Amino acid sequence: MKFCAVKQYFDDENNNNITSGASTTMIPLPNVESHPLAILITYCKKHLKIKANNADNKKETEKEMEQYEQELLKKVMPQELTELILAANYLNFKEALDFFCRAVASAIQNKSIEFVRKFFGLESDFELGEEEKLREEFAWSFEGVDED
Amino acid sequence: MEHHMCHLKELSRDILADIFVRTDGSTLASAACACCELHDVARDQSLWRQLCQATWPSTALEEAQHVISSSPIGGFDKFYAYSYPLILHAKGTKPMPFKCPELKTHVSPSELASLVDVYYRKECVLSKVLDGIPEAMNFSHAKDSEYNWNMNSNDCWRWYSNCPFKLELLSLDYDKFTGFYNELSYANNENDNHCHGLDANDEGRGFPSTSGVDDENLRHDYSMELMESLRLSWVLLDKKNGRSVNLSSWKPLLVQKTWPFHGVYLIHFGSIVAVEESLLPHKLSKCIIIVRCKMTEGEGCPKWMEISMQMEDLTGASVSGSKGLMVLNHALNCLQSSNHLEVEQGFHQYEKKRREMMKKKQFRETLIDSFCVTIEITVLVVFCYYFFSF
Repeated sequence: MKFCAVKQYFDDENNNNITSGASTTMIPLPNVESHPLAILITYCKKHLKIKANNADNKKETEKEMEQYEQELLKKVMPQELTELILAANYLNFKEALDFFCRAVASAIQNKSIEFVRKFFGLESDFELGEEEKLREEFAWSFEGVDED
Repeated sequence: MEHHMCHLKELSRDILADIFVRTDGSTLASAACACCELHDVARDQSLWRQLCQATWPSTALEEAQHVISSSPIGGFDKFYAYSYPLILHAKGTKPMPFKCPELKTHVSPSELASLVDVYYRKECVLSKVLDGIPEAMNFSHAKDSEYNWNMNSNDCWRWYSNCPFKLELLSLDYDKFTGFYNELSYANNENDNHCHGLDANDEGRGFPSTSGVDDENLRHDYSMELMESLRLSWVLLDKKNGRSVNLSSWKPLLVQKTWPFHGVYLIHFGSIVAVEESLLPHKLSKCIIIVRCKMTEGEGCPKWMEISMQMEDLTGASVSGSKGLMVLNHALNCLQSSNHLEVEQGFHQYEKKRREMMKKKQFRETLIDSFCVTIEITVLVVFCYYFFSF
């Protein structure tokens, strides 16, 4: 069971001796919307399928998973990434959380400060002069930054 | 606009840290300058420590932990900021004024530490930490005790400061008598990677084997491969002032096969340091990191024979030990750049300047020679004239 939060729910149910008929139990997931949940379920199913197909060959599993992840990223909009990360975090789905964090990290890799602000929907809230000081301190990192 | 972009406020610090741990230094820097909250997350020392250890595995070694934590460097972010860019030699660069408070008139060898990492095919194959400069400090600290010098530290320092500057990280001595390669000195050699220097008795007696198969291996030229796959980082840390600098050029400046030991390659890395005229004429010094290694077919990575640092000035003459330490001091406060292209151009400029200088020198010498020859001929002619006229 990849969704550890759901698994925990089932374990708790068993402990309380309540009937845990998997097909009929309703599990409340208040912090997850339907759209990211659907994507996570698809991701999970694909992950398990690839793993089952290439049981012995770990490299093959990784390669296929990478290909699937690349395709998935093309379909997912950057703004959905937050929701996906939050959903994966809530469900305690480690592989998906790992993947989406990687996706965000590569999206902001080697980008300018303005791009990072735009990506996260931020405004500069530094005091007067503080930002200049920081820019000076990190001047070494701004050479070779990608164009926005 | 509400759902347009990733909403930062919804992401907890743990998740942000999870994202940032997968980025590099420049991304962390951009994030730190974006807003207060990202600044707090991106300034987390554990992120920078992980980044430093990933970039320079030598910083993960125990000796390095001790050396870095005992210096006033102020955190792994500062260490990364000082050590990541390379020394830049640009046209018109002026050396830092001597009265600058960070520059001292005397640098003690024990205040410096070197963290060296060698990468082959994008994997780190050798990491070493060298605390101080053993040859300049107390000679009895050196592992080579067979000579039994019994020098005190004053004599040692006097000897070191007048000899050409040399900082040895790793060297294997070729014992001429038995023909075996013996390990002579190995700075801080705990926890080595498997790809370190030649083992004793590796080569058997005398020169490398001359069997048919080995001949072919030795004839194959690995120079191009070494040029493309070998990378070196030599971070010098000033423990007293908490500054560091990367003295290497990252990519090799020179790769050549040494003769007559086929299969042994000499590789140079280095940087150009601007100094004052009072220290060195021509105001430039080249810090060269010499790597000697053996390449054989079928081996995963090169076998290291020597890794050391030397210095020379623009004319190619060696710099003495005491001046070399001053050059290192200047290097710690040099102009830096993360743009490797600019750094390479700096090297080309230096080489060009050097060639021009050598040409001028040669021209001057030719002129003086011809002048002397002319005078000699004139004297001879005059002498003959008077001799034969009487």
